[in-house]
Amino acid sequence: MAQRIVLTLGTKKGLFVAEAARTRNKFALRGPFGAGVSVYSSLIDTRGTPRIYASSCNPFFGMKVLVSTNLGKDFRETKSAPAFPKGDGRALANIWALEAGRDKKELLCGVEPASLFRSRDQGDTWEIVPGISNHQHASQWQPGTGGLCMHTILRDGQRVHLGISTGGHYLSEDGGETFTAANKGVGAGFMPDPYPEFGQCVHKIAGHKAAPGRLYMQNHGGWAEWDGPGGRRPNIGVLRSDDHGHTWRSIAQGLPSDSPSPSIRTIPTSFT
Amino acid sequence: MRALLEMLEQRHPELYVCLCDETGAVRRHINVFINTEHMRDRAGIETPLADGDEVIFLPAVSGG
Repeated sequence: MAQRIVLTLGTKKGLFVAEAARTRNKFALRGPFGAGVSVYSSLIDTRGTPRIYASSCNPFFGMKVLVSTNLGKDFRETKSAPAFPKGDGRALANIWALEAGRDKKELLCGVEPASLFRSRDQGDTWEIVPGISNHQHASQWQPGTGGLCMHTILRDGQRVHLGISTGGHYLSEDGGETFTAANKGVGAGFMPDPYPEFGQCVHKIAGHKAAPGRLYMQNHGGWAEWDGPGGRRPNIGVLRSDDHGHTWRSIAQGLPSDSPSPSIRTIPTSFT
Repeated sequence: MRALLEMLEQRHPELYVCLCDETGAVRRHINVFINTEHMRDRAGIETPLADGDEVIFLPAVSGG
């Protein structure tokens, strides 16, 4: 079978799937799937027969997870979406991240309010991951302008990196069971302590395929120059780690200003 | 109303999750009318229902 290029595009109008031959001369566009409903995250899962997942974030009727088993020719809802346990008190407001888990049928899902869910059956049932969702820091995380969201999940073998706005970067080294705040060098210019243990407004984290342990981060909350009260504040939030996210250093020199937008476009692609 | 929603959760869970979140609260953009009165103008989820009452779930519509 000829190789095909497949892209997924999450939009406010639903999910689009673009497909092209390897030459990429011309893309055919399918969709929108989940029409009229925002898609905050999609995942092309190439473990085994490819499956495409997408979050369908309906402010009226709640959250759904869509799945396609034919490379985006059609989609159906999985049997259930992540939901907080009865009596927890939290309600799902958005699905921000989908990522492949360790096992072939395992999926990870980051949501708002910032919590992590795991599915072991390709999205049909979900369980909360208490190691981060009920972390002792969780009650002190604050929502940013986009809400209190877990927007980034990066899996690297037994390591799982999470980005939370505003909670910062959390790292698991036991396959995603327990998590530790890992924000050494990551600034929070809007906090009294500009380098707190957690609480940073991390916007995006990405890994480097060809350099194990190297990560890039876009973090909101720094200034190129600051002469105001409190003395020197953190630099613009573009950082790099070379030790699996344990420590970070700024690579912002030459950049014009801090960016409030949740993206970083000069980084390599994520782990796969 | 509370008993009605609990009945919906038992008998029609797929419909219920579209109307209420995990905490049992009616979703923000869903309006519930008992006959012609909005539930919030009565006693909310504790509003008693009488035989013959009509309950309407109406999603809000907005935009240009």
